[in-house]
Amino acid sequence: MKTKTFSRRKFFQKAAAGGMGLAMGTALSEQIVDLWVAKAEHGAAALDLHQMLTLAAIAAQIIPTDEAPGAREAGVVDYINTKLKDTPSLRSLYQNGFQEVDNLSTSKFSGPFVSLDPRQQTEVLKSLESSQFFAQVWKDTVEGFVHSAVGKKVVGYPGGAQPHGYHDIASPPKNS
Amino acid sequence: MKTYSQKEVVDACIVGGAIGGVMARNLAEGGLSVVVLDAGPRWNPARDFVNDPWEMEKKMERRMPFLYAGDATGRGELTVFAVGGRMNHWGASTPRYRPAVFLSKTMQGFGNDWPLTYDDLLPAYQKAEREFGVSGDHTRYPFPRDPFPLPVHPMPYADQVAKKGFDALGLRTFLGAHGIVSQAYAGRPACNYCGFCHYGCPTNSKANPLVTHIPQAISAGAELRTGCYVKEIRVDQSRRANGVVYVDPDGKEQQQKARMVIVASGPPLSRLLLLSKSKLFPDGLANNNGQVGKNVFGKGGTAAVWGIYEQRLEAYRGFATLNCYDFIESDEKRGFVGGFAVGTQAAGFRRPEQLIEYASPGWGPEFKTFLKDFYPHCIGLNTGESSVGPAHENNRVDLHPEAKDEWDLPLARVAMYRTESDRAMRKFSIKIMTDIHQAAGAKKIFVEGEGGGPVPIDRSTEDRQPSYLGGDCRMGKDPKTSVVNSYSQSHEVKNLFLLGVSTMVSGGHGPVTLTLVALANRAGEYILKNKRDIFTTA
Repeated sequence: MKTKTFSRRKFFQKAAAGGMGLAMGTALSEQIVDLWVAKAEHGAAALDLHQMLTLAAIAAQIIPTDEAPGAREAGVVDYINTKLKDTPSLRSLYQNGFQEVDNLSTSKFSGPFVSLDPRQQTEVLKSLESSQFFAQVWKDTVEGFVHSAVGKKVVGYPGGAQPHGYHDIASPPKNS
Repeated sequence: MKTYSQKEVVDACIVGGAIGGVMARNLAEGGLSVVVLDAGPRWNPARDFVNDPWEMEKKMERRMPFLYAGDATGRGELTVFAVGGRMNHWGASTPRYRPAVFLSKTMQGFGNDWPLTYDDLLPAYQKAEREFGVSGDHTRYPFPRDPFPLPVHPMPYADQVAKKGFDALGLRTFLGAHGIVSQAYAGRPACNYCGFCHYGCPTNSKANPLVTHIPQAISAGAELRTGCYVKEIRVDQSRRANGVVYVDPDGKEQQQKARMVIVASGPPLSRLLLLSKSKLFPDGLANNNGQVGKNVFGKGGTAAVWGIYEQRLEAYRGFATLNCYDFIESDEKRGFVGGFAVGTQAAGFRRPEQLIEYASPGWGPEFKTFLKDFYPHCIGLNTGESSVGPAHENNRVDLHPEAKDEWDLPLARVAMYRTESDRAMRKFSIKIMTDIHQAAGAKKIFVEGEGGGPVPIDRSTEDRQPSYLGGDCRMGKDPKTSVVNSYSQSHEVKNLFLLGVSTMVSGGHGPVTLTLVALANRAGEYILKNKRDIFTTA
């Protein structure tokens, strides 16, 4: 078992000092930090930490968590990170896109995307919603969502049916 | 399995184990020595096919070996490089083509007449249906016909709901023919309606030469070599094919000599002919008349429309069966030439993310509301492989000047152009399908391919990829304007036979598969009767 040389507390102190404006100890950012550390340790991080945190915030805007799980619970950032690792041709679209998102956020609200409140984040994304970057993030967020067990349950995807199959297919479904 | 040494000259070398598998069974059971070469693996459905679309897509799907040019762009459609070919992932809709298809020019005013009629092909159709175990109800069928081998499947609840829409518009429906057994048959259990037809049938209830023809061919003495990619067909001074060159699973070049060669390598067949140039055939094998790669047609008017309904449909239970032929006859008053069939499409044939994308349901809280439990409330309508009409005169298949495949062989280049009639047909059929969904009570309706992102983008002026190319090695009576005769035999090389959609003369009102199986049966019978004339001298 590897000893973690990365100190989460030290990271957040640095981040606050550097003006990243992260809320210390928010569950989402802790989850992403853990993810990034795990990937970075194995050379499997296609995005840097800031990009991952930005992606998490965008994905949470696209498929929010309400009474039902959203992109956050479905591990969408992990899914997209793996996809980018396997598909180098997509990386520059993402990297340029994150840059543009932060530029817009800074010019509109004086801070990077991750530092904005949810309503401000929605506004920034609305102005980008016809862009190729947003279309790609949306597509990958949807894909990641339905790939997860949590997401499948939300959309009502039934999964495999062998070996029993379905009987009485001519009748209305039982739980309707 | 019996094996043949490469020093042996076998009777028949068959390229491709899908329709080629059908031919292999015909010839092996007729006493010929047969070697089948397939580029892919021979799967074991019970072990290799799982009800997981993501895993199966990764395992199964590859792109056809061509790049589009003309109005379409990108690589060719998804296909399956394996024994059984696309019949590993097909939905097994198995209509016979009606007589008017074989007489397209005479009876419908577009396309061309085939060199054989429906009646000529009928015994071969019947054999194909028996071997596949086709289910249907001949008493409730748009055309008079003999009974099906097996009884019709039950109509799924989702289809019953959709049918209300057809009924409300005065459209006549019937339950389609399917190559899926409704009872235990020939060692295959009855379908249990798991709905994963498109991702490999784990129970062998769905027809597939992998299950219905290859094992029988092997029992009768055929050899199947998998992982063998055929690069070239060789021909000798007497203008006869004498074997093939292929790359084996270790990447080494090998040869197999044969008294006849049957090419069933998947569309476009013209690719392998164009790759097989020689002194006698400088423009490609069997292409001295310049017809290989010409006369190409597609299914440019195809469309699909989905509906989301208030009630739970669970359209992923089983496969869709409802069909309507009210628009298959051409009527220029509609604003286009040609016709299409409309049928239901089971939800199981689309992964959830594909449907979400097509629906373009935005993002944020409203999107989240859309997502909740939407999948069990969906059902599709589509014109599938049924849209037919006049082909664009500039359609053409040749070899790509630059692009190559993984074996370093030139890809084909398929120039396909959409006609105004295609566009008008697509628009018309989208309106019909939208009206059906509306009349059936759908609360949200969306067109496949026109969304494609978070927010709706008007793509109505974009050309979509025409699909299902055929005709590039077409059949005909006249050796000047066709590549093969009605027995799939090359006009110019008497011991070369071609099997596949490339030999089609005109499009038909549904999937081409059963017709291809019938044509293979008919060609097989012809070969066995005429083998002495067909074989090279040993």
